[in-house]
Amino acid sequence: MEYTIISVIAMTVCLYYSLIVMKLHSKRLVLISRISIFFQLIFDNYMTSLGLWIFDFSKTLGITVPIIPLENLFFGLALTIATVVSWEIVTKKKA
Amino acid sequence: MENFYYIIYLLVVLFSAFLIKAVGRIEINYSKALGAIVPVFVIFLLWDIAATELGHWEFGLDKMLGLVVVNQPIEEIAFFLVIPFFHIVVWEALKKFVGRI
Repeated sequence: MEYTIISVIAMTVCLYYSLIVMKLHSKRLVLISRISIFFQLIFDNYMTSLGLWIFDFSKTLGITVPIIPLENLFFGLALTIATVVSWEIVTKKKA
Repeated sequence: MENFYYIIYLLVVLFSAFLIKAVGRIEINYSKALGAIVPVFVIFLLWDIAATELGHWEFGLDKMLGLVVVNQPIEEIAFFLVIPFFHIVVWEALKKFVGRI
């Protein structure tokens, strides 16, 4: 359950920061999230099917989309939003 | 050939980022991009190292280049530089073409 808990917390923190603290454009956030999920569904599943990434499903909720664990989507989404938040902080600092 | 799949994937993503950047005439300050990527790189790499250590996932090292730092294949380390850069380009494209704040 650690993977599930960590990924949910990471995703929540990133969404909280982007939407509530930084008040980033929600429509763009939804769009980049969709793009992120779309590419993860294609590439992450492909990488997993090739055996490049091997998940221990006993440590996940057991929900797969279609062969990667749901937690992996949360990980990817957190990476996407964290990058956007970091980029906005860096570019706004001395703009 | 299969040892290069991960590298090819990263190159495809990097090429796509530069293609979007060129077609959309998106300007990216590379030093700022690096400044934004480094903290994300560190945090997610630490997560990856911990998760690999805890056995949440592992890597098919026989299907990669085989270079490992700590417990991370070199491709996975590059992943955390390439993917955030792609996201920055896409985000700037969205800023340019999807509404204004």
